[in-house]
Amino acid sequence: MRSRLSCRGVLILGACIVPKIVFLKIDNFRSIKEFSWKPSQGMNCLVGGGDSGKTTVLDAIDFCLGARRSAQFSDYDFHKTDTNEPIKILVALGVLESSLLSMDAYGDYFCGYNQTTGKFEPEPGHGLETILVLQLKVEKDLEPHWSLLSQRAKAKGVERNLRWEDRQNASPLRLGDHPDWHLSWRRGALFERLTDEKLALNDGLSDAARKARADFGSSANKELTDSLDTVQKSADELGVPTSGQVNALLDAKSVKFGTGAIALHDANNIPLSSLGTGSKRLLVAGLARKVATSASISLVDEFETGLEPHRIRSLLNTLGAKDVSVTQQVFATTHSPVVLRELNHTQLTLLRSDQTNGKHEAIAASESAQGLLRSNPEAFLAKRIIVCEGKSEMGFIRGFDQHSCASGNVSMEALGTVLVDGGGAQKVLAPANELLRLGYNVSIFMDSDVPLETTDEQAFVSAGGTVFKWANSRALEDTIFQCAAGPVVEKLLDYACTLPKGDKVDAQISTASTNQFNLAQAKAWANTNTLRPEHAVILGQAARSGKGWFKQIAPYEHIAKNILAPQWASLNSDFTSTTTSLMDWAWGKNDRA
Amino acid sequence: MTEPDPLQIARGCIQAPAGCGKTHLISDSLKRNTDQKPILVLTHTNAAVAALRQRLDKGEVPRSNYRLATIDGWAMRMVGMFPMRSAADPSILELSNPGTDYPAIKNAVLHLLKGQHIDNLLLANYSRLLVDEYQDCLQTQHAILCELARVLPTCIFGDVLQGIFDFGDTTVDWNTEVLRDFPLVAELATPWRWNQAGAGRLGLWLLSVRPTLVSGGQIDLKSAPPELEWTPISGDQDFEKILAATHGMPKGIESSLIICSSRNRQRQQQIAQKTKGASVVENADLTDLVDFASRFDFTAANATSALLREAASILRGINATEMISRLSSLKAGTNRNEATDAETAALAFDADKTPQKAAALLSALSNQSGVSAFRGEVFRNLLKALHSSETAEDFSDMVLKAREERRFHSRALGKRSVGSTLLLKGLEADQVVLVDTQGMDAKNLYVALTRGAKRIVVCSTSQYLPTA
Repeated sequence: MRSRLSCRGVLILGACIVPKIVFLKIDNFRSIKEFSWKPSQGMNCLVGGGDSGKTTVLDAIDFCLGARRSAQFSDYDFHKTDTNEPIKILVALGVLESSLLSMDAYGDYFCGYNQTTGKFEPEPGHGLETILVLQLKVEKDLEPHWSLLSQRAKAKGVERNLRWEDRQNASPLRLGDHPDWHLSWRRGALFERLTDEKLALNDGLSDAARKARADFGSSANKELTDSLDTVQKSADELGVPTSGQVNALLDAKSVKFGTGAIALHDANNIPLSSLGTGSKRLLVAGLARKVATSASISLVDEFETGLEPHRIRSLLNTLGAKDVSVTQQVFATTHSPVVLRELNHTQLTLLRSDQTNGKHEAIAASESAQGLLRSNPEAFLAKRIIVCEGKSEMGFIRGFDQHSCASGNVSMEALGTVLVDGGGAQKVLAPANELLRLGYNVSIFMDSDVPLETTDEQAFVSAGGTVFKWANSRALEDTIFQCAAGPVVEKLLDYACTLPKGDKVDAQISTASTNQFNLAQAKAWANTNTLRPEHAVILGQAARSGKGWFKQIAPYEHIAKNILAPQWASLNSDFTSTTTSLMDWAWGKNDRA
Repeated sequence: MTEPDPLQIARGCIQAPAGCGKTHLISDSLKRNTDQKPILVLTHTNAAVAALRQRLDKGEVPRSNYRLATIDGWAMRMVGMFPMRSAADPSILELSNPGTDYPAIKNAVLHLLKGQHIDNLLLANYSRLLVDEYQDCLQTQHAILCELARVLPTCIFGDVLQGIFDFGDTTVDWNTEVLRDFPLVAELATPWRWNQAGAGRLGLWLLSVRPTLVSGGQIDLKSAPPELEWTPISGDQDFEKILAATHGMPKGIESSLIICSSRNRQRQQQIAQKTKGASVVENADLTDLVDFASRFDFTAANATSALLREAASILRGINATEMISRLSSLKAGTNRNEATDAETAALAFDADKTPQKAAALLSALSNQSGVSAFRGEVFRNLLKALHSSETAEDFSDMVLKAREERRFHSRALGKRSVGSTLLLKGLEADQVVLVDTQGMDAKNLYVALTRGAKRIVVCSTSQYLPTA
């Protein structure tokens, strides 16, 4: 397939040349007021909130690069329907193949792009990527106008668009909701582009139409005897010539096949277009790969649509997302953690709109995101994330959330909050910082016994993060035991004993108190509400000994939901103030702009 | 000997003596080009481009197989496309000062190429490079072509013995520079021009004298086959013998090139004027016409006389002085004979000095019996410029326009054409007549001798040439 390109070692490293988007700029198009982006040359998976404009970006590329002679625009395609500001979509194409490098056609239009600095220069140059900059502009009159941008061409007073054949080659493949189109033999459809064979459409299809008429014959006559008789009689009475008989036959004009009449069918003659959406998209993507020289850029809406998790992997493979050398540029959107889990961090881009200036920005994930992609891909689909020190903190928050839900409030999941297990006090900062950089609302919830470095914490907070921790350098267990009144402590001790390692609680209390008191004594003090503060400290220590009494999600969920929350009024403010701010944050009451 | 294949040469030179099928070889190579990308073909002059394109079209070479341009024209295009990388002031492309602008353009494109700014574009746009008439390259052009050869497979064609353009010391040196940068791959050795004219012996003789001429020796005209005729003359004023030679066209000779001294243009006009049916081949700049146009003042009192004198310098059989005095007597009413058509036209111009009336006068003059143009190209372009001038102010612009249009046409020759080696290089006829061998060096002599495919006539005092 690819032999038609003459591949010279000096020019092409590895793969064959297909044009790629090195830069995209969108102005005033739909939900996007302003957006500039230097996408990667391989997979670009866009993630962002509901109205962040992901599909708008795909549409923009499609409109600008698609091989269409015209396009329908309406006032609603203008940002905030303000038609005074033109829609401008600018695509800089790099990795040009020989036809796009034609000096006869584009000599006045080539520009240079420095891949290292990301800077553009008005002319190509040594060490620069040679690019063409195509702009689609739509003004008030709604007429789309495509042109190549170049200062020197403008100075010469000349203007041109890409040649039609070049537009066809650069045209992106859209894997949208209607992949059926590509599965029939039509001009431009992938099925047609797969081969150089030309169907003798006219002859074959006309014959088929004739045969259909012959086969149908006069079979309708039997069913329509009465009506035909009436027609016959009337015609005879009025002297209209019918050569003696009126027949109901297939109308030659309506039995006509155009292109598109030939479509792919399976062995049971069921058209492939009636496969599930996911299967069709998978097949079309596969075909696209076969004709990759002419359909290099793929646009995939909602990557996961119609695909089971294992087939998501197939589609990713087909689109080259797992290739070491980048061959195909893909722009995809997704709302699926299953897709994200399969991605390399270089393939993930966050789309954000900055509320202060209304501009959109694309933020590429860095290497620090890689671990999160594997362990907590949901985080990238959330509005706010709490990076918890461990499972205890996660269970703790969930318990309070469940308690709140039981009284009819909206759950934090529904509000877009995701909890991430940071895996220890030392490990929370890196993912939290990465998520913060990517524009999410991020907080850290951790113990205070092994605190963050002060400078790290300050940097995190000044970048917009929030840290929830207990007063007085306490761990979670310390805080709970020291802030709880006797009846709560008694319930905690009772609950600890019901857990799988509950038989060790007594010994652990004795050890922690250096045999000053045991479980029974502690319960007695708690029952009579005579537990002294130093005893509470020892109970906290005991609760953390060994693998800890509660250090799992489920026990802390239980404690928070069934013990602490119902007794809220009895808890010390050291506990309630931090917990209140933590839960308010989790319910989105303190989001940054 | 099998012919070399220019399409197989990565970087090299094919030495191509005159008439040995170089153009055919280029044409054939371009026709055979199966690469998707065209071959870039560069040569020196617009006339050469026009002539080569005509040959290629005649040979049905698809135009998509090649891109043909002059070196300077191609350079201008590149500088126009990439002015920043060429570090050039774009105004040089307007050529308002050709003397400095052309060198500036060459330096600019050299800067562009040396910076390796468009290497990828060159590779994507051309499969290889062919350069014709390489011996005429200036130093900067050679540097430009070496840069192109760094990127594109390059085959150059040239002949040290045809390097007669003298631009001072800036022309590239064949042995020390050209053959160093483009190693000699082959030398064409079949005299097709003469073989096809049925004068194969003459062709072989012309090949055989090359080593003598290259090494600075003299050739003996008596060693030539009978197709070369030596006319001993006493000197350049021996018009009896010279004009006999320039008029002589034996049976089977349809066209004749008459070669006079390169240095003396008066001489070419003199010989043309004295040879019936001959016309001077003009230089590309049409210098005399352009000078006349800038000098001529329609409003001047003596405009009529000036126009008549100009007519006499391009039309055979006009006596300007006689006619000017006739006009005065006609105007004074002292004439005995009626005014002729030409005289009437001259009076009409004298009364109303417009370009239209001037054109009418020139036509009337040329329509007289016994009158014909010996500078046909000047006459035709003068008439053309006058016809296309609406007012007298347009005239000099229209002359320049006519000149520029002429650059892009290959020159059609009359039956007898008079010129110098410089003007007639690249042209050929059945016969060539060398009128002035005095002062002709080996290269000019070789170029002159090789213009005739069937017959060569040499008027010289010595049988051993060159004498210089």
